Amino acid sequence: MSGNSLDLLWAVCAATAVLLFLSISIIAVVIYSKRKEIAAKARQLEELTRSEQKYRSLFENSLAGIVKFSLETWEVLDSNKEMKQIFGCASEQELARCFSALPPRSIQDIQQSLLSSDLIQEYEIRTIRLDGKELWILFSAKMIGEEHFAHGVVVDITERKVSQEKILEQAMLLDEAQDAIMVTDYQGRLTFWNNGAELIYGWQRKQAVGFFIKDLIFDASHSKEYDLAMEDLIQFGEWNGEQYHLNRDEKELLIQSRWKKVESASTNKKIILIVNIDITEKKRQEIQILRAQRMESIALLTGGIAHDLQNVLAPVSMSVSLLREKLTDAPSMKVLDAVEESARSGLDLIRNIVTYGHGIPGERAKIELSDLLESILTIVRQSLPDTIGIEKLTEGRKYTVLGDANQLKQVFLNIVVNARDAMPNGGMMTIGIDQVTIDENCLDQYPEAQTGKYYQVNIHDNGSGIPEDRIERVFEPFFTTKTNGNGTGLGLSIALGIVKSHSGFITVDSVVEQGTEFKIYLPVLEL
Amino acid sequence: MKIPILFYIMLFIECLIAVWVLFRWKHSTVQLRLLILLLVVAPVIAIADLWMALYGIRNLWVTHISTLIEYVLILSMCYLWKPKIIDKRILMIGILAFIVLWIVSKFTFETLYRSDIYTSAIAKILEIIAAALLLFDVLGDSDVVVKTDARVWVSSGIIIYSAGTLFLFALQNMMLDNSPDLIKTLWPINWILSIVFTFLLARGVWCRAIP
Repeated sequence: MSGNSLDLLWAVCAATAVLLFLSISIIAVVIYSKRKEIAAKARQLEELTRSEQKYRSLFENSLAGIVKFSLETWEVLDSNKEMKQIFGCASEQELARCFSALPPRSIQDIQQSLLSSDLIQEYEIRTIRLDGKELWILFSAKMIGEEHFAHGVVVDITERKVSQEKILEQAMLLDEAQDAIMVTDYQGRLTFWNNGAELIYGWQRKQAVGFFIKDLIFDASHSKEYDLAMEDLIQFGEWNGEQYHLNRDEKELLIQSRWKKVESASTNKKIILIVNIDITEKKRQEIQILRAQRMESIALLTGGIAHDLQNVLAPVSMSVSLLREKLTDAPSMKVLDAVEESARSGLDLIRNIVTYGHGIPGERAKIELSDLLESILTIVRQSLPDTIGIEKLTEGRKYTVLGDANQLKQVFLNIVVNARDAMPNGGMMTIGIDQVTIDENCLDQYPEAQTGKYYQVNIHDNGSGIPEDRIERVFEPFFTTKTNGNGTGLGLSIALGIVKSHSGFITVDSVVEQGTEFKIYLPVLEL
Repeated sequence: MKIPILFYIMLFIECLIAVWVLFRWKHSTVQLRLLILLLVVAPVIAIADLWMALYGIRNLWVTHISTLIEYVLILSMCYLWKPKIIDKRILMIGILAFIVLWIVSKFTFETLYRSDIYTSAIAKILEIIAAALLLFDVLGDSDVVVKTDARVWVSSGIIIYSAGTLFLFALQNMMLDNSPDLIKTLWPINWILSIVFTFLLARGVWCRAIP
């Protein structure tokens, strides 16, 4: 080969070598970078797989049901084990059936919410399981990247819902109870206050809850009762007894109370359950009945004694007439006068007692109470000191009753005189007449009354009043609050006897140092 | 006429591989079938070349035709593998333009009685470009596993063979004019690269079997 040929040979070889080198290099670089990329991708894939496995495990073992569904077709695309369990399904097909059976209204709400805000949270749905049992679920869902698909999380709240309903039912029952049922914590702060409590105490639930029971219903003078009850409760776990409480109008109530220490099962918190029954009225009725029974017994006893005494005094009285014929000298006549006077006084006294016991039949005629009271006031005004004023409050109409005018006069006189005596330092006496109707409901308050219309004669004074412990006895014969010698103790008992014989009854209310009010009820004469 | 042993080795390998790839014809994709065709055509042309040389028949025209066939098969393969319409259009234009150029060249500047230095050089450059683009496609395809992707092997084979033989074919007239021994000295490069090319393409066909 010539020199030119050799040059060409080298040139071709070199060019070929360079081209080969370049092409192989390019291929190597491409393959290397690709392999690197693939390796990185494999690592990513591995991580992704691991992560997916982790989330798959979370998905499968979640205690909440998880479902992927299509928003447009409402088709279930994926679901976990719990989701199927909640609906009582064994397969995706069964679940799809249950999922489609959700109430249309709920489906519409979910779709609208997801379309408008991509999210729906804790939406309560009432539906049915595959076996037809009622199912309550809490449904939350979020749209995912893919169009019109969403991930939903479902929690079975059936048990909670049933419990809630039961609690509501129980709360309603508690509210239906007439008794005041309340719950406090251990510090005495009210946490529950039922309708019964609202009725008894006058405080609304929102006004009472959060307040200390001691401040709300215990008067300062009775707060010790609260402390004692608390001590017993802590020691024995419960307490029963009677307490004086105050209602919203600060009226004192007598309460039959039952306290019980209860430990909340869910929170281990100790609470106090209090059930209070208002026995104020019951107690008052009991007292009235007892009083009536006592009066009845006394009337019976005094009647018997009076009858015997009348028998004893009758011969004495008759003997005086016989002795007057035999003993005509002046000294004897004087003695006989004294004996006769004493016997008459005794018989008068006995008549009064009998009047209290059995009443006096007397003659019954139409009487205008207003006129009768006016005639009494005419007499009384003359005997009253200037310091006592009298006010008559009548409406200028007629108040007709059937009765014995003299007997009723005695009734009103007795009471008016008592009123006068209760105001030694002067005061004001008010006399008025009202018409009232006693119906079945009032019979508890007035056990001696019968249903119908009555005229109520009110005689009120603002005198010294009668102490509470004595007021029950004012109608008893020989009982008087006046100092010795100023009264026989028969005035009110005779008045009661007369009013009873007129088919009426008397009530008395008194507050010490404020005054006393007698109410005499007489049946209205229907013309 | 003494034929170097390397040629026979190349022919033997090409024949063996051609027979083997034919068995894979039924289960191959269109692209791989073109590849199989390429692998079958190569030994056929080599045998024809050899037979005509041994019997003193002019065989230069066979080389011309083989350049066209190889070009059309390789670019068609690339055409089918390319996903983008625009790439496909460019390749189609490339194929048609080359066919036109080839026909024109045979009647004008590159008759069948001389070596096809221009068309073969142009063909090899265009094949390198097409194969390189295919390789870059592979690079951009995130789902590719290099070992199992036929495109990687095929495009590598085309680039190596075309780049390695570009100057050999382009300067063959110059070498013949200068010294015929030069050709004899350098032509084994073509046979070696042909063997490499055949193996790489066969590896591409083998990829079919790998899932």
